[in-house]
Amino acid sequence: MNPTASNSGFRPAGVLLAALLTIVFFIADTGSTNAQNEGKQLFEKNCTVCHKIGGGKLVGPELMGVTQRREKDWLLKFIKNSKELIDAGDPIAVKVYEENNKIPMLTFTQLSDNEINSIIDYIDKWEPEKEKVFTVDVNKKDGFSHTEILRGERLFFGLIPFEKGGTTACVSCHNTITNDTLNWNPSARELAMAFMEKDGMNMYKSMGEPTSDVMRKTHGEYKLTDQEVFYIAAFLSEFNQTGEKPHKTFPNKLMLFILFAVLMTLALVDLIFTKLIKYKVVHLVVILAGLGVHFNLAVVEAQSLSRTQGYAPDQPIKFSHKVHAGDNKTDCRYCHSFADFSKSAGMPSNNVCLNCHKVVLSGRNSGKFEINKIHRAAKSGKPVEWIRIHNLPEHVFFSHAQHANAGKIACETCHGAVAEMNIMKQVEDLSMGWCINCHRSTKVNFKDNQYYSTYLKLHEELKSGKIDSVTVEKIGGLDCMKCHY
Amino acid sequence: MEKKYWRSPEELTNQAIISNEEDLIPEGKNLLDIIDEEIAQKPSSRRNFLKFCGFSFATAAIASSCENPVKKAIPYLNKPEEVTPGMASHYASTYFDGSEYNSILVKVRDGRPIKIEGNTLSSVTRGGTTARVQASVLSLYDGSARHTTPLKEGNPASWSGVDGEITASIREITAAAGTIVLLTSNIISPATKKLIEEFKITFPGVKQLTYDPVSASGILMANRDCYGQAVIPDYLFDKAEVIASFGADFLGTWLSPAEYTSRYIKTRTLTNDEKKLSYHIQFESGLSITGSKADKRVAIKPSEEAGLLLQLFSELSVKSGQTSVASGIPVEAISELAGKLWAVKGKSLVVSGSNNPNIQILVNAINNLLENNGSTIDFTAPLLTKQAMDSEMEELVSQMNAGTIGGLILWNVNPAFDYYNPKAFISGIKKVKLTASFSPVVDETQEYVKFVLPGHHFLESWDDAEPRRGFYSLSQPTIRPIFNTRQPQDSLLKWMGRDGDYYTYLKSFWISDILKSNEQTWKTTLQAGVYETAAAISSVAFNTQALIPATEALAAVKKSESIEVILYQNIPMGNGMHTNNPWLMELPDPISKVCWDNYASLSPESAAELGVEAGNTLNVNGIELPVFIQPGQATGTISVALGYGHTNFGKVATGIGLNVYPLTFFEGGTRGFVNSAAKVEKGGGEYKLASSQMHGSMEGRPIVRETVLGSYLESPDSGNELHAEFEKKHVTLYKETEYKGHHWAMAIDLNTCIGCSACVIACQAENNIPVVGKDEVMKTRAMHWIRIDRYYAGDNNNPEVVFQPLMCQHCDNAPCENVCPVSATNHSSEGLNQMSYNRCIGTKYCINNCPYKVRRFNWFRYATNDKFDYNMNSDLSRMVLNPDVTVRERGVVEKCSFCVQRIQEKKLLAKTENRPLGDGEIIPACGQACPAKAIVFGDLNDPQSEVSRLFKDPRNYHLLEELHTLPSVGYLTLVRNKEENKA
Repeated sequence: MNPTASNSGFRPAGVLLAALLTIVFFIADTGSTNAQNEGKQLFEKNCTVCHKIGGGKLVGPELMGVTQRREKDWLLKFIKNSKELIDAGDPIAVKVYEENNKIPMLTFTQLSDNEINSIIDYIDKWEPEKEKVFTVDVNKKDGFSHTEILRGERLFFGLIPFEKGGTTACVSCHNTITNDTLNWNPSARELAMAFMEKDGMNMYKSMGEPTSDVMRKTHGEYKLTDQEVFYIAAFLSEFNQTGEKPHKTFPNKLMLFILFAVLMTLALVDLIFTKLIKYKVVHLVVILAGLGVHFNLAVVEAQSLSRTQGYAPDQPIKFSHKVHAGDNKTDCRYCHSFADFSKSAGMPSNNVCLNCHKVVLSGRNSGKFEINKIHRAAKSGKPVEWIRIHNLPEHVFFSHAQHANAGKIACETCHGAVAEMNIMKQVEDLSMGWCINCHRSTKVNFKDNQYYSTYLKLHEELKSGKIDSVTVEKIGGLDCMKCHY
Repeated sequence: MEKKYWRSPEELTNQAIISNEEDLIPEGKNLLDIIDEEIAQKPSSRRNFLKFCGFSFATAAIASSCENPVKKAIPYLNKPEEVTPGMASHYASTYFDGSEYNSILVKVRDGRPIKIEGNTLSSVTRGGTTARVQASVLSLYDGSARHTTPLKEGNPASWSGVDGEITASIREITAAAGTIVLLTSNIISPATKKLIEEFKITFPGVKQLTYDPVSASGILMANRDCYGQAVIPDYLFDKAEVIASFGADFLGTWLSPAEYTSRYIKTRTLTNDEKKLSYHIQFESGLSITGSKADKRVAIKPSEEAGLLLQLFSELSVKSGQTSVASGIPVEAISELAGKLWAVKGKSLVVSGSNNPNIQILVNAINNLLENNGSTIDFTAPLLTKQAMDSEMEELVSQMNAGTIGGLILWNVNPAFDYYNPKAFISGIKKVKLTASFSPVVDETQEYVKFVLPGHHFLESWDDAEPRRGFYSLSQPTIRPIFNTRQPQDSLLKWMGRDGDYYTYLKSFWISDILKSNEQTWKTTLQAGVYETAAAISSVAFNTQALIPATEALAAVKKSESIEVILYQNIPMGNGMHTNNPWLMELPDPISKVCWDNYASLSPESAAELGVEAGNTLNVNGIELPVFIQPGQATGTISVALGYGHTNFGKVATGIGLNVYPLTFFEGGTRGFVNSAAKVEKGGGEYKLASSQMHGSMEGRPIVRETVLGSYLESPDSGNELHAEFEKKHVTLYKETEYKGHHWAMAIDLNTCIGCSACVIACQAENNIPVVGKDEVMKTRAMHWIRIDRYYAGDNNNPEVVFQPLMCQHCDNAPCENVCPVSATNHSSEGLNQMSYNRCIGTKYCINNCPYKVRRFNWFRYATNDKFDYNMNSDLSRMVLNPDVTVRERGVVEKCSFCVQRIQEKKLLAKTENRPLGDGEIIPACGQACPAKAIVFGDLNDPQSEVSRLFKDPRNYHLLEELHTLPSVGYLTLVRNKEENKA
């Protein structure tokens, strides 16, 4: 099907569109029935953890052609409760069981016969996806006409309605500016990138058939025509090149600084030349106040130079510590696995993410889009470039092993309630004063760790009651060369 | 009894030290006048003051709108199992540069090698290293000299392209029965040797020749004649009670210095329970570190060596009751030596550094007479690192010129630079059809070579080594090849049309031929790095027939009356292979303390005779060499270091110093390094050398304390009586600091320190110390945290020498700490004198107040500064930096930290393993590198620790202890094995 053929209006673009026919794409056959859709959905929900069709063996066997190999009735029984069949000594079932390392298949008694049949039907009718090529030449700037881009922009921003319904504009979920609130949905730029990538997502396909539960829910009411998708693609292609506008904050402090500088100048001018105000105390107050503000600004700002308390940048993947560490109770050290023995706690490498996400393909909040980025990284060989949040100055040598392992300090002590953070942020200011204060008050596990057995004098003092506990300070925790060398 | 120490001839004769005249204050003025004048010249007014005020407020305003840079954290895609970010791994490997062998551990941080340490599992080098081994890691990141891709006629080419052309060419030449020569440096890899044999079978026209610019042909030829084997026996210095060396600098540059040092030092230490020292006498012309450590040093002209050895032989013959052969020069030192040697027959050792086979035959005869053959000289495990015969190269050059060589493949050799007659070599190579070089770096020879097929750096390569028969070790890559290079062995395999790489070849060779075992043994051996098969010491029958012609030839040698020019390898540069290494370039020569140049060393008498003084030049056969007055240099001789004067060898080496290889010559089957025919006259030029000699003179205070063995045995605190006296006076009104945990300290044994300077480079590598260049060194701004002070004592013509390593003394009552206005330097609870760079504002008060002059000021930013284009100015070369040590900014003071990063690392390890810290677990970089293990580090609060034991030794004293600085570094007095404490 060709988008220009189903064009319903906007003729002026037609001529240009004809020129764009060089961009060739095929759209999957849309003749599938509802039943098959149900089968597909059920298959994806229940079976994909262990099975693939046409992708080889995963945990369970390859399913392509299984309907030819086995009777449908047998399949129905086996899917419902394979253990029963094996126990009954069914020769095929036992053979399958033994071929697959004696890992029994889960029982699916909760599914009705109809539902299982629809799955079998889906497997039966499944055929490998045809070569679907959708290329929008992102490098060719004049690939889309201005009108197409403009129309796409309007559709995206909801300035003109979609033909077949759907009320919310794309932009209400897919940001076009960077911002720092949590929006689980991919931003417009991310969409653009995913669609424009060579082996990225096919826009027509993903708009036509939502790939995850989350997307299905939100995109349910949209029935975009191919022409509309084409316009949006035009806009996104353009957007990918121009990029999103950075979110700028108003320089309040600079304005305050300038205001007082001007006031002080006026006061000086009036004091020396114009002499409009009789009471000199006014000038004095203005100048003193101005100097005070300036001085305060200089001191406060200089102190906070390179300190980034509260820093919570947008990350390349909308990774939520709340979901992982909070809801799913994943141990911090599962991902940050070097914390116990290295200086660096370590960012998990892509393969660590894939340990789980090989199977967990769809996220609760973000659907498949974010998790796909891990798979794309693995495929492309380019690791994910996270934004570093906790930055210590280069002349500070901090060791996670010292604190987390030897000192038994909980991660939360410095990193805050990470398990409640959807967006990771820096809780403490990581200033030297903060370090030192903790060293002054933290008690060392002095008696249990054999390392301290050589600190004889401190043991004597403890015994004689001269001191009641040993703080980090007492074993040299305030020495410069504990951290700076 | 009071000895006078001096650091240079100028100091001895109380002359003014030459310095830059423009730096001097004009007469009649003081410093304040000059400052006042300078201020008066500069316009400054209230206006300017207000401008500065405005500027500073504006700065604050700009600062307030500053944004922090976004930093990225990029994890691995698939993390390799053995890499842990933030933690170092150590891989056992092997260093062999074609002449020097060392078993090493390579410290790798996040995939890049950053430091080389000695492998203590090796019984050959026993964990010791040398300066060049320590520095070799830097050459891995040498972006200016390393080839990035194969070259054909100077243009980048592809491997497949050059392989095709070369194999076709080799086939063509061999088909026409031509000869292809594989010219290699000494190869000690058994697997490579086997591979070359197979290569020769595949291509029958191929011949392998070995070339070594500074070979041991003399010894090899002598031993072939005397013992029937052209090998270098193993010299067991640890079993010798009397050691006589004739010009062999066995602690510094001769054959296998790290190995010999570790053995020599066993007989020179007094910290074990045996209160015994060996007696060491050195006859030599130029002052070497070996000569400096000798109990008696005799300065001789090289032409006297034959006569002295003949005399020694004849006196020993008389003692043994044999008829005396021709006698030589009768001197007292020789008869005394003969007596001493005879008294400990079988436990003595005579060695000579000469490359003259006749002399070596005579030395063999002497050792044979002394029954050392089989006791201190072992033929079971001979040294294999020197195999080249000078005559092979000689023959090759004449064949090349005759046009009978079809192909020449150069492997780790650079004859256009270091052959004695480069013109003959160059004219010869031009007649060779196929020429190729495996050199990983640019060199002078490649100009005449068609194909450059760059090999890997040794830290990127698989290899093995057999430095002594039966003692094997392995090399493994510690980083993926940085450039598009290929190991020469892989090239050979490819040309032979073999499948599989050299790694597979090496592994199967080891499993089947060396280990005769399975894959598991291979893995454990690779992990240990060494595989040793011990065998009993054996002797070989001595063939006296060889002796007669040798003595006849030597008897004809007369003491030369002309000036003899000695061409030697110095400690930093060796034969010139490592000249492009800035660390080595800036390493002061242990004796002369000069860096960044080679020069002509002259005795004060010779200088007077020739009418030159320091700062002049000397014309030797047309080469204008800077003059350096060297006390201890034999009168009538000039010593010049080889290895300098490269013309195309990378940005550091090119144009530094002068190439004196052309002064060597070929005679009697070996290369000669003493030129008595050179024309020597005063040169026309002026030249200033960069020397660290005058840095921080100690003004004649009792810095070095020494005694002789006899007095030491009578009372162990001999020479160190002052220590007890000063200790009594250490009273203070202030409360004394108590160290409740550790109290770090270091003990340095002046007896075992040989001055080799491996520690200086190790410290430089560990602590990111910048290279500052010749001009800055001349301004006394070298940055080394550890220096080796060298003092002379006694006679200006043949002084005694003392080496004293000096780093921050970590005084418990430190003068530097009191004067810092911002408390950037203060004392830690573990006795460290801490330096906090970020607090330092650069007043340099601490430098002025430090009595030891060990603090260094960063006059410039040395990293990422085009003016200091050495090893911190490119991303590639900065990869060598240790991520655990801050790179210092301009304007701050720095100094030795006792390798606090290592202390912290080991403390943490003990804590996490829930155990007390063991003694000797923490080894600072200097102590690790030391081949003599002269530096001991530990905890004074642990009464059982080695350092506590040494601090209680009556020999222990502290520098300037009368100042009550209470240093944490102790020195053990120097004990010489001689009659009286007089130089």
